[in-house]
This record gives sequence, C-alpha cells and structure tokens, in this order.
Amino acid sequence: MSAIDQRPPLTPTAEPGPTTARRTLARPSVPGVAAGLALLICLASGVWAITGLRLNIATLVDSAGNAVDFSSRMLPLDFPPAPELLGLLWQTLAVVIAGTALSVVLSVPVALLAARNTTLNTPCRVMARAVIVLCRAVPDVVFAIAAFRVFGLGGMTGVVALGVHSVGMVGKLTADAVEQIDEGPRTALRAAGAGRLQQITGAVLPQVLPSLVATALHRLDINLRVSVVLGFVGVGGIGYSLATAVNRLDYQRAMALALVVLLTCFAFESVSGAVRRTLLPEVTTRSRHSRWRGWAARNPGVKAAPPAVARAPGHPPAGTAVAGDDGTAAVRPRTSPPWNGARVRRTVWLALALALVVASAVRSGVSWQALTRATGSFLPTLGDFLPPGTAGTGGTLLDDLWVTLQISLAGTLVGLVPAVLLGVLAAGNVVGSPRVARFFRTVILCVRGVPELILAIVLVVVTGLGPVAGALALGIGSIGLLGKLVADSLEEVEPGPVRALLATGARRRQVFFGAILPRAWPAVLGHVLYQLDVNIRSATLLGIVGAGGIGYDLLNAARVLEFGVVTTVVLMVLAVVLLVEGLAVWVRKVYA
Amino acid sequence: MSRPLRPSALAAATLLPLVLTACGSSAAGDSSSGKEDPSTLTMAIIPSEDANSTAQHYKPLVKLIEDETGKKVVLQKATNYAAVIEAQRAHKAQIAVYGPLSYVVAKKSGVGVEPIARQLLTKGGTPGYWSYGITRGGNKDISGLSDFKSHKVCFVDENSTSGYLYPRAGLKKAGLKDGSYSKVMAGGHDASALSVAHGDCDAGFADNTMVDQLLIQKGKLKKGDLKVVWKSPLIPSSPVGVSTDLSGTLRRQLTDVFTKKANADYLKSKGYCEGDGCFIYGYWGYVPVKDSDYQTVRDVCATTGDPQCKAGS
Repeated sequence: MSAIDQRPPLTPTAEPGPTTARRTLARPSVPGVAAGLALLICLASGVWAITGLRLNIATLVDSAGNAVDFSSRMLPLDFPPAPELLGLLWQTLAVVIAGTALSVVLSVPVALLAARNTTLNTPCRVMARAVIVLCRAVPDVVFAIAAFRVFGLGGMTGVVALGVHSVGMVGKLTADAVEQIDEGPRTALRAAGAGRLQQITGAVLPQVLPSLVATALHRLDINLRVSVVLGFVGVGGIGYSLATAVNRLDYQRAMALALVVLLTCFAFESVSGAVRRTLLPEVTTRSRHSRWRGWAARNPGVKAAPPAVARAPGHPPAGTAVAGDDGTAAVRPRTSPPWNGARVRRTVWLALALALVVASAVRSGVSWQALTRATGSFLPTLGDFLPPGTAGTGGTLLDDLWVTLQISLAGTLVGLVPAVLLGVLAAGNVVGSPRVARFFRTVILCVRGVPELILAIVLVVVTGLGPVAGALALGIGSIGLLGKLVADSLEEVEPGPVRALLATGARRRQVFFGAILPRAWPAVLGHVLYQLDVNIRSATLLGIVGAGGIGYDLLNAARVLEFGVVTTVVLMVLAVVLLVEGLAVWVRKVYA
Repeated sequence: MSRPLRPSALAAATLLPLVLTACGSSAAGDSSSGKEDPSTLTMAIIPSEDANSTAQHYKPLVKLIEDETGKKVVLQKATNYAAVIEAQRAHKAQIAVYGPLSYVVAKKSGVGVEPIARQLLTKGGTPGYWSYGITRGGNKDISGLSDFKSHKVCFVDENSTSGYLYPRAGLKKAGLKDGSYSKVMAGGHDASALSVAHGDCDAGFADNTMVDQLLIQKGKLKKGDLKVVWKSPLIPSSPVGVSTDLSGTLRRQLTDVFTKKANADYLKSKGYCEGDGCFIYGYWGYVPVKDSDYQTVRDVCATTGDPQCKAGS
C-alpha cells in the first residue's frame, strides 16, 4: 500500500518470462506516482496519529492493571430473567429487521438512478449518488435524534434511523452491482422491444438480486450491532438496557447483555448463510463448502459479485426471464422456471422472510398513523437543523475534528496488521486447508460480532477517557470488517492463474505471491480506504462514551438541542468522508 | 510495478504500526498512589448546560489552576457521570467535577478520590440546590408528583442526583411505584427541561438553576413555559474530587486554589476574565467540603434502593 509499487525496477529481479521482447512491467505513470504519493501521505498521517495519541506499549502496559480490575468487576455475568431478555431481544431484532427492510425498499430505486447504465440522465445520477453519500455520512445516531423529534420515543425512531442510514451502504453496493451486470440479457431484451422498466425488471434486477440479498443480510448484521448505539440515545431494546447498565456502572449486567448481542450476531451469520444458499442456489456462497481449487463461483460478500449469468453463457439462471429464442421457432420454450423442489423451497423461505419483516414492522410500531403524524412535524424538524451554526465554537469543532481524524487514522493503521494477517489466513485459496480457513473466518467473525461501542466502553474503562480508547476500539473493530473484506477479495481472485501456477508445481507461498496477491491488492487497498472511511464515521460516534473527538460535540449539541451545531458537525464529517471516498475512487481507477 | 517488491512493501507497511506502538511514553497515568506530581493535570467534566461553550466557561478556572500550580491543565469532556468515575478510577483524570451522587458512587466503588471543594452558586449563598418536578406551563392535568402516574417522565441520567435520585425518592413518597410511569433519560438537565417544554415528555425533573435562570437567560425558554409542581429537599452542591494518586502537597495546593481563589471575585480582580464571564459555568465559586456533607445523599440512596447507589459493591 505504498508508492514502492510505482518504482521502475532498477535490476530485473523478476524471473524472466518467456522469451519475448515485450515489457512486462508498466512504465511508471504520473497518476500512478501521484496516487502512490497520496497513499504514502495517508500512511504517514496514520503513523503520526499513532505517535500523537501516544498509542504505544507503555500505555497498554499501564492499562493492563485496569483491565484485570475490570474483568473482576464484570464477573460473574448477571443475565436478566429469560422472559425479559427474550422480550428485549425481540424488540431489538424487530427494529433491526424492519429498518434493514426499509433500507432495501428505499435503496433499489435510488441505486437504479445512481448506476451509470440505468440512470435517466447525468443530473439524476449525481443527485442519487449525493443522496447515498449523504445517508452514509450522517451517522445513524443523528438520524435517530432527528427521528425522535418526528416520531417521538419508540421503535419507529430506530427503524427510520437504521433504514435511512443503511441506504448509504445498501444503495451504494447495489448501484455498483447494477453497473457491473452483464449487459447481454439487457441488450437482448431491448432488441426484442422491451421498454426501460421491462429491461430493468427482466434483465437488471434478476442479476442484481444475489448481491442485493447478500448486502441486505450483511447490513442486517451491521445494524444489529449499530442498534446498541441507538440504545444510548434512547431507542428501546437490548442496547438501551445496556446503556443504562453502563451508566450505573453495572458491568456484570452490561457485559452479560453484550454477550447476548454477540451470540445473536453469530446466530445471524449462520442464518444468513443458510438463507443465501436457499434463495440463491446459483451462487455458491462460501468457498469453504467446496475444495477451493474447483471453486469458480464467488462468494457475494460485501463487494458485489458479478452474477452467475456471466459464468454460464447460454444457461440463464433460474428467475431470469430471458426471451429464449434460439432461432428454431418450432418449440415455444418455457420462459419461467419450473416448479421443482428448489423453487418451492425458495418460495416458502421467501414467504417466511416476508412474514418476519411484517411481524418486525408491527412490533416496532410502524403504522400509518405514526407516518401521517410524522409528515406534519417533518418540516419543522428539518428547520431545527438549519441553518448550520457553530454556537461560537468553530475553533473547538475544528480541533475536535482533527482528533477524530487522528483516532480514525490510528485505528485503521492499528487494525491493518492483524486484519491483513487474519484475512490472508482466512482465505481458502491461500491456506489450502478449509479447516484452517474456517477457523480464521470464525476468529474474524468473533471480532466482528463485538460492537465497537461496547469495545469503546470497555476500553474507556480500561484506559480511561480519551482518544486512545477510541483508536483502540476502532483498531479492533477494523480487524473484523477489514479481515473479512481482505479474505473475500483474496478468495475472489480468478482461479485460472492460480491453477496455472499450481500446474507448474509452485508451492502455496509462491502461488500466493505470484497469482493471488498481485491480482487482489488493488481491491485490498480499496478496502483499507473504505475501512478508513468507516472508521471516520465510527470515530464520530465514539464520543458517546467519552472517546473524544468531534462526536462529543455532536452528541452534546443534540442533547442540548443545538441542532444547528449538529448539522455543522455532520457537514464537517461529510467533507472528510468525501475526501477519502474521492481518494479511494481515484486510487482504484489508477491501479485497476 | 516491480512484482517482487510488492509483498515486501506490503509486509513493511503492515509491520510499521507494530514497530511504532512498541516505543514511546504512556498516555495512561501510573497508578502509584499518593506520590504523583505530574506535569499535566487532566480535569474531567460534564458540561451540563450549553455544551459548546464549555471550554469558554472553564477557561478562567483552567488558567488559574495552571498559574497557581505551574502545570498544564487539560479538560476532558464526558457525556455522563459513569465516564468521569471510570476516568478517575483509571488514573486518567486527576481532577473530576462530580455530581453529589456520582461522587458517592465513585467513593463507594473504590475510586481513589478526595473531595476538595464544592460549588457555590451565589456569593454567601447556600452551597446546595434543589430538584424541580416540572411540566408544561399550560398543563392542567399535572399539579403534583402523584399526577405523574402513567405519564412519560423525563429524568436526566441514572447517576444524576437532582435529575434522578431525589426525584425517584420524591415519587416513591408520593406513592408511585416503579413502572407506573414511563422513564426517559434525557441526558442532561437542559435536555430534560426542554423536552418537557417541547412536549416530548409530559413531565420531568431538572435542577432549579436550569429552570429558573439558565434556560431563560439563554433565550431557550420564556418565563411560564414550564410549571414547577414539586421542589426537593436541599441537595448538597457538586464536589470537585482530586485523585489520591496526587501527592499530599499538590492536593493541599489544589484545595487552596479551589476554596480561596476559584471564584468570580478573585478571577475578576486578577484580570482572568470580565463581567459574567467570571462565573464558572454559572457558579460564583467554591467552598470547603468534607465527605460527611454527602451523608444526606447516602440516606436518600438507602430509601430508594436504586441499583446505581450500590455500584461496584
């Protein structure tokens, strides 16, 4: 992840390839060098942030005693009685499921408008992309604060906050997936005279569905963890009970609830795997279910996978209504898939999923009355947040933004090492042994299951108030997300070159450095920048537990109803996130 | 792009943080007790009013402590008392501005803290304050605590003395059981009062200064927006606690600074500030304090039996 890659080779260290006069290395280009420099600057800032925050062994050693002390205070864990616990769990799950469902409903049209190949026109596309970025940049807590003013206390607030904020991720990834579709079926439909909407429903959405489902399930996971944060601003459920427990220093209860959240995350993960396999038989989910060498289909993880259509020309996947006409008009081919066992199973699951969503919506108090009541107070609420103001604290805000940036840079860098290591070990096509890969996948999953906020709380207790706790929490949190992304993109490397190297008798390490890493590293780099982006937004929220930075100003401004300041903070964070995003896009473009 | 370099570059980049974190001095304080004389003092505070001008409010006081002790003072803002208690427990905050209840809880849960001064609102006044039960100005349904039944009630935070503990004791006395009203934690006295005024809560609690003066001075509320339907017994005012990690000399020095010099008159005479800017967060200054001043809080704790009173025990 540095400019070193841009250097022209001084001595040809590479094995000379087959005897051709063709230059095997790209000449260093101006954009390439510039991107490398930009990345170097990022790295340097990260290094500087780590030293600036005095995030070092000495600090950790000093905190070790506090950690021991803390563990003695959280044991024995104190679980609430089962009925109460199940009630809390259902309350939380309902908000999470309904919120995620809402985000999917909102995301599909936005994504179609934001994708280059399905948008109406350029202004439209820019608008849609802006909406997506805005949803991502505004923390869910801010949406929750705004939704409170509209819906008052209750599940509805949580549903709307999660739903709108999630559009930032679901919409973005869906739009990316739409841009990556195979245009063949669409062209065929257009040739047959299909209108724009027919093309979209007939050729675009079926191709995007696998990645949409995968994204939605992944977001469900994230939202489950985010719901803990919402508890801190008063959305009922496990998070709220956890927040109250923490506030009265009842760590036995707090950590018990944290453990419940953790276990729920694991349960989610296995359920979502099962759902993916049931709904999307044409997409093999995890490589770990097959020997990696014969593994062709990709796991549609966070990055939208190209659809299976592209892999099997001439075999339209189930569910794609291709105007099948192979030139022989003798037999009228069947245009819809047959009702075989698999389709029946899929339909049953789909019905169950829908029922669950409806039940969740009901439990969260989503109702027309609430919505109609809300329409009246929507504009005044918006008025509360405008115009952006600083309440005479522009300087403080800038200082704190700086701290937030430091926290996120340091956190990303701290998480990078273990994340890349674990990610490599969790990639089935690198380690070769499915058991090892599965083990490390589980390790990553364990880390990911811990909501960053809980980490931050623990770390604030252990290292005291301040940015160190925030940076460490983000660092640990990064391992979960970045590790997963790294593993996924390593596994998504085309098997061709890997097989070729294996065929020539290369060792596993040689295969990794020769065929996997060179193809995966631009993606990995993109993920690192994405992680930085995520961390900037998370760092904003860690202020809630005293981890310093601009999040503190945001939450406090909300607390004292200075909504103009909230808007200012959001805009500042937005500007930074956009910068990182721009950098990521540019780097990907340069290196792709 | 030189292929063979790539892995090593990656390895170098990933190892960097490890190397970095391996050296340097600690950001966490040592936990050696009673001997410390650090060059920097961290002061943990909860801004209970207008968040965004905290630094301004405390600036004269911070400057005063810096001048008197010759040390740098860093303000560490927290959103709730739990964070302040933990900061002092983790030896991260040498000075902490507690509420009466959070001080009691900190002490009880084994934090090494010694009270050195307590707040005084007006010169020569009583070092204490009251909790008000409030509802919206025009609300005819609620005229006392017993009317809070089955309404949405705004409290401040579970470790707030006037925003939770005394109100709960009051409600208990008025015959309202737990669960006969719905609890909302607003997060601050101002937020609680404003939520009631805006109708987000039917009734609520906040301290008298917030209701009678601060919000009106700031133009957030007009007189008559809120109706006071209950007043608590006098609550001893908020203490400043210093960590027992600090050397005895330094603790005595800080006690002197707070009780003799940290007040609007002295700050003004020394030119630290002007006019109303000399009021430390709206308070005139500090007076001496002893642990037994908070016995009444412990007694109220005993009557409500709230779990946060038992923290850490």
